[in-house]
Formats: sequence, C-alpha cells, structure tokens
Amino acid sequence: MDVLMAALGELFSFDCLLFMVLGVFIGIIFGAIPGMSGNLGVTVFLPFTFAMDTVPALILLCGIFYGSNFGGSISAILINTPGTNGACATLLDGYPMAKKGHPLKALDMSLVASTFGGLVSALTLLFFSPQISKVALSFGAPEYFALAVFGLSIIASVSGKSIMKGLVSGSLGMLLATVGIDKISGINRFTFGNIKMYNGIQMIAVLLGVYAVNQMISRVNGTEGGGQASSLVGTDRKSDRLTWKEAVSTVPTMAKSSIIGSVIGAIPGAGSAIAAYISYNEAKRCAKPGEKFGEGELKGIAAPESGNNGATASCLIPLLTLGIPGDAVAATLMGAFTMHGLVVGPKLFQTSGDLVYAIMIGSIVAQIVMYFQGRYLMPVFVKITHIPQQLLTALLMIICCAGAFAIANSVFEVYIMLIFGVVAYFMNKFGFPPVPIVLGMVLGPIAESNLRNALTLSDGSWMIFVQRPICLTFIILTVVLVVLLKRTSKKNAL
Amino acid sequence: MMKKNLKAGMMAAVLAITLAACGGNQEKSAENVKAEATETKAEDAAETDAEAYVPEGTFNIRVFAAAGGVADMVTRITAQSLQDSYGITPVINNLTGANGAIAAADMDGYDPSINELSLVSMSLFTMSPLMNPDLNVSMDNYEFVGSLIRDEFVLLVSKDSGIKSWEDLVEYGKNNKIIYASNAPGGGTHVVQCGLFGDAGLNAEALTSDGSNKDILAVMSGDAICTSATVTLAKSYVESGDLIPIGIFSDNVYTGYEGYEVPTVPSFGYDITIPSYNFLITRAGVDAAEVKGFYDAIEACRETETFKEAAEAAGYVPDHTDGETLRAEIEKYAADSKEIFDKYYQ
Repeated sequence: MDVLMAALGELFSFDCLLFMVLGVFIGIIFGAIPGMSGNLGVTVFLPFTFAMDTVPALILLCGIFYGSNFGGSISAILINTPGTNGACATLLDGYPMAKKGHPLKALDMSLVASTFGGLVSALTLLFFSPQISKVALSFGAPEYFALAVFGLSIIASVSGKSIMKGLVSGSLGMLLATVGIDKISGINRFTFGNIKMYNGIQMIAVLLGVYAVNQMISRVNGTEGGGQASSLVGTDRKSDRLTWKEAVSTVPTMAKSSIIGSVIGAIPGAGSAIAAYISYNEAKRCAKPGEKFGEGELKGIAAPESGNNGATASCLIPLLTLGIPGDAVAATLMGAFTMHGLVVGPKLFQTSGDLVYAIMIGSIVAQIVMYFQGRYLMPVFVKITHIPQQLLTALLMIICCAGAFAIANSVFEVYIMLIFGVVAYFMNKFGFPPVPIVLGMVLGPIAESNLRNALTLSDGSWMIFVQRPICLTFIILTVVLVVLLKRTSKKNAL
Repeated sequence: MMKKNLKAGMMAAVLAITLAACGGNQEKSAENVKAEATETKAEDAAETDAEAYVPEGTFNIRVFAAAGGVADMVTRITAQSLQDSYGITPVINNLTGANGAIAAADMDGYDPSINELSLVSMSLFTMSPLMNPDLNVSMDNYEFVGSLIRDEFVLLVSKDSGIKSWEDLVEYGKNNKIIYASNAPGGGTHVVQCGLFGDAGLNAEALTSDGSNKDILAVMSGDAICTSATVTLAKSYVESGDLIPIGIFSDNVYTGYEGYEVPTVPSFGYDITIPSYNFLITRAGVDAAEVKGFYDAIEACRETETFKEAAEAAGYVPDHTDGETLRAEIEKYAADSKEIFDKYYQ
C-alpha cells in the first residue's frame, strides 16, 4: 500500500502530467508521419530526458510510445499509408471508409479502439505482469514458429480475389526478409557485396514504397480514382462521427482484440503488427452477414487498432519483469530505464517498486490523455483531406523520403523505398495484393529462424511441434482458421 | 486533370531526387570543409607543435549500436561530458550493423580528422573479416583512440538445471547434447562458447538469437542449458538467483557477484579469455598527438562529478584502455578468434 501511495505521489505531480500530455502529443505526430515511428520519437527525445527526474522522463517516453501507435492509424486512414507497422491492417477498412466520405468516423473508431486496447493493455501490465511473464517464459523456438505460421495463414484472408496471388506476394515478403546476415549461420545472404545490405532490407522503407510511393505513381498515372483528396470529406460533418450505438456494437470485437494484443505484446519479439493482423483476421472470421470487411467496415478498424494498442503497454511486461525487451521501442525504453538508474529485470520491483508502479499507473492515465488529445486533434488532422491532390502528392513524397532517410540515416533506404514503390505499382496492376508482402516480411524471419532453432532443439525431429501444448494449439488454430476461411469464401462465392 | 497530375508527379520526382541527392552533396561539401579544416589544422599544428591538444568544434561520433543500447548510452554520457567540459558539439549518429563496419565505412567517406569518430565493437577487427571476407576491414586503416566499454563474458546456467559448476556441465554433456544460447556465429557469445565446448570435446550446438537478453530467456525457460553474457548484463539475474555463473572467460577470478567466486575458464584448462570491447576509432592519418589528446580529454571528463553521477545511475564502469594498449590487445584477440574460427567455423 505504501508503495502504491508513493507511486501515486510520484505520478500526480504537475511535471509528470505535463510531460505525459506532451509525450502523447509528440507520439501522435511521430506516428502519423509515415516512416517516423514511435521508436524514432523515443530515440530523438531520449537525450532530453537525461536531465529530468526519473518518473516524468519515463512517462514522457512511454507517452510517445503509446501516442505513436494511435498516430499510425491517422495516415493509414486518411492517405492509405500506415504511419507504423502496426497500422498496416487498419488501412484495409480505414481507407475505404474514408474514401466513402467518412474519414472522421473512421478516425473516431480508431481512437476509441486504440484507447480501449491501450487501457486493457495497461491494466494487464498493472495487474497480470507476473502471470503473463510466465507465458513469455514458456515461449520457445517451436512456439514462435507456430505463432508465425498462424500469422502467415492470415494471408489467405487478406489476399482479395486470388489466394495464389496473395501467396506470391507473401513469398516475396519472406524472400526480402532473408536479405542480410543470417541469424543462425552468421553468413551473408543476397547482399551482393554491398555493405548497406548487411542489415537487410528495412521493412519501413518497403512499407513506404508499397503503400505511399505506389499510390503516388497510381495517382499521377490516373489509376488511383480521380485523385482529389477532398473527395474523402464527408458532406455532413455530423453524420461523419461515430455514434454511441456504433461504438457499443464494436465492444465485443474491441475486447477480444485487446486481449489478443495484450498477450501477443507480452511475447518478446512478436510485436504490434502481428497483434493487429491476428485481431483483424479474428474479427473477419466472426463477421456477421452484411458486414463487409475490406470495404469500410467499422469492426475492420476496431479490431486491428485494439489489437495493436493492446500490444503496447503489455510489451513492457517482459521488459520490467524479465529484463527482456518485447520489441524495438521496448529496447530503446530499456536504455532509458537504465539511464535513469532503473535496472530492468527480476529485481526491479524490489529495488524501485514505487517508480515502476508510477509508470504502470501512468500508462493507464496516458490512454485517457490520448483519447482527449485525439478527440481535439482529429478535426485538425482531417484537414489533410482538403489539401489539393497535386500538392498532397508532392508533400507526401518529401515526407516519405525524409521518413525513409531517418530509418538508418542513409539515402540507401530512400532508394529502397522508390524501388519498391515501382515494384508494388506493377504488382498492383497485375492484381497482386500488397498486404501479404508486409506479413511475409514481419513473420518470415520469425518463422525461419525459429524453425531452424526448434529443429536444433529436437535434433531434427519435427515431432517437437506437436509435443509442446502451446505449439500444438497454434497449429490446430491455423488448420481450423484456414478451413473456416475456405468455407466462408465458398459460401460467399455461392 | 491528367496534365495536373503529371505536373504533380514531376514535381514530386524532382523533390525526391533532390532530397536523395542531398545526402551525397552533404558528404561532398562536408568533405571539402573537412579538407580545408585539415589543411588549416596542419598549418596551425606546425606553429603550435608543443601545445597540448584541446578538443574543439563539432565531433561526429558514429555508433554501431542502436539508440538506447548500452554502447549508445555510454557514448552519449561521454559526449555530454565532453560538451560540458570543452564546449564541443558532439553529434551522435547511430549507424547500426555489422559490428561497426557500416559506421566505419561512413567515416571512411571523410578525410582523416579527430573530429570524425566511430564507436565500434571488437568483432569488427576479429571475427567480422573472417566471417565476411568481402568486408575488407583492416586495423591498419584506423587509429585506435581508446576504449569506452570492456566487459568479460560469464558462462551461466539456470537455477533449475541442477548444474552448479563446470564439472556438472561436463558430466551433463557426456550423456546429452549441450544446447547453448548465443548470438549468431561470429558474435562474441558464440565465439567463446563454441571455442570452449569445442576444446572440451563436448557435443554442443547453438540456439541463436539477436540479443543476449533473449539468450538468457532461453536458459530460464529451459530450452538452452547454458549461455554466456557480459558480467554487467548477467548481474541482476545472478543476484535474483535465476542464473548461476559457473565460469568467467578471463584470467581473473570474478568476485563481483554477491556470494559467488566465479572460477576462470583457463582454470578448466581452456585458454579462452576473449572479452567484449567497444572503443573509439578514427581514420589512419590523424595526428597521433590529437588521438592521444582526445582520449586524455575523455579521461579528464570522467573525473567530473556530473560524469560520475550519470555513469553511476546507468551502472557504467568506464574502461581506461588507451589506444596503443587497445591495438595490442585487439591484435591478440584477433589471433585467438582466428584460432577458434579455423578450428570450429570452417
């Protein structure tokens, strides 16, 4: 109780609340700009926190992290370019809804779902950290492989008309992910003697190419519908807001997705993109008649947004309890914790319990702050749709180039982005969907390295995948999912 | 409409190309500026040969590790301290990958100057050239400024494994394959464990990951029987009782963990003492007095109260190995690594 009171005392100071508001705002902006991820935001602001007190500093950085995850959906919905990896699944229904003239409604849904997911995640962090960290501990190479295969099966549901073409796109993504130093053998693959390729092909650069540049080429070419961004604006602003009834109808979807996100977020290395896709897929699988996923369905926004925000605070669970960063942002946050004298790991709660609880409770408050900020910022963001198409295309190109450059402070990533923009344009022309490329790039390396590690564990026996309960569960889920999807698509065809 | 769209496209393309070209131009202009600066400096040096070197101007420090990591943090603490003490402007640029090869390659694009530095990992000169023959990295191309971090590797097992000593692990290895967690082949934790188990004649295989934290997780979950990590990283896990240190890859017994006197790996009969080293380099051709002077300035900064406070908060213990000693040590470890590479990596 004393620890809790001390934590509340630390948290509810003017400094802390001010930096929380600031952090969330910065995060939303960084997330909304394609290529400028939350990790970049945390990295940029990390040095500024050196002179600050521990709790306000960490609250600021965590605020950036939380805000950026919601921010990623803004560009996904308004300009069909995900600001972050986690927002890739949001554009599947977010952009079509905006195109139908309901950008504000789509953003409202995203904000409500993000807040919902974020709150569930933060509460999970506060109340279930020890239990969830045990789940993380039971995740070995075979479980990661099974999770990746489960994730890859989503290709079947986001491939549009042709699953075969989806598989080709997915394979391309997996192939791209093999470039660089192989984590198992240490040998270079497909680097062609180019030192810049040693790090592999950066996913954000590909993402910017596949979505943003591809779209710009299409607009210039006149193949991307008429080209006026202002066509996105709803005629009646009142009808373009999320109603209470609509929000309530998505609560079961948000609840399920938030739980999926919270669990996946707590598994080191899984990340918010996987959470978003699995949540989207689950919502699509449970779709009621008349719900048209991929054409601007509200649940198609609610699910990925609750999923990816569900993975935010919970990714701090393995960091705080085991000292294992869940993803790239958590790794940067780990540095920030250390810089402020908090040694993350098994002894953290013993040595700095009050500070850790302050951050955990702060994570809950930050979600509420995010909701109110989002609510007031939305009309400002939606003004992007008033920008004339020609100007928007040029502006986007600059922002994307800057974003690609910022990935590794290198022009190389800008070239990668441009190349994949052209590749995606032609793929699009021939009906190859872009989403599986992203899935392949996210899940391919997880599947590959963990398959090889799992076979090392089992001395080459494939039985390891059915002998471990979590692994077997994922395999059964994958089979059930594929069969159900096949049945649904057959039904729809009739 | 089509015309307008085309115009917008052309405009965007021109902007993109201009922006992309900016990087090159920047480098070029920076090169020119540096060339002029070097010329001026050479003239000045001739005039004030006897004067001690004082850091001044902007220092571009490339860091091989990601922002937020230990190496990055330590560089930032040091840079901040230099800024406070000498008024210099340090610019930290995280150019990750290949143990610093990408950072070093970027530095090679500039004329030799003490203001152009890179923080690299020892592997850049020990294992990386062996693993990637096309890397073309040589110690001769660089001046070694001095070390920022040196940390020994410790061999760890889980508390639940039933193993409490090296002898127990050997016994276990007689009937089982030893699965050890490490980073990819060529990385520090892989090299030391691969060498140790190879020399000990044990049947062992690596479960690889991209970070020592994940290796520790693999041991704690029971997937791997042992791992190695730096002494600093392992500290909280050892002190919480989750992991047991059974050997240190060093010539000296380690007593830094409460309740443990960690025996050395050489005491098991295997001379594997390769540590983890992160140090500053600059291009060959930089005046030796400037190189030494810069490291002296770092050492002086380390005595300031602000540095000590920041280092203590971050749990950072500075390493004081100067450039000359460092070069000799890296040469030794490069030879040791090559021996392991020739025996077990071919």
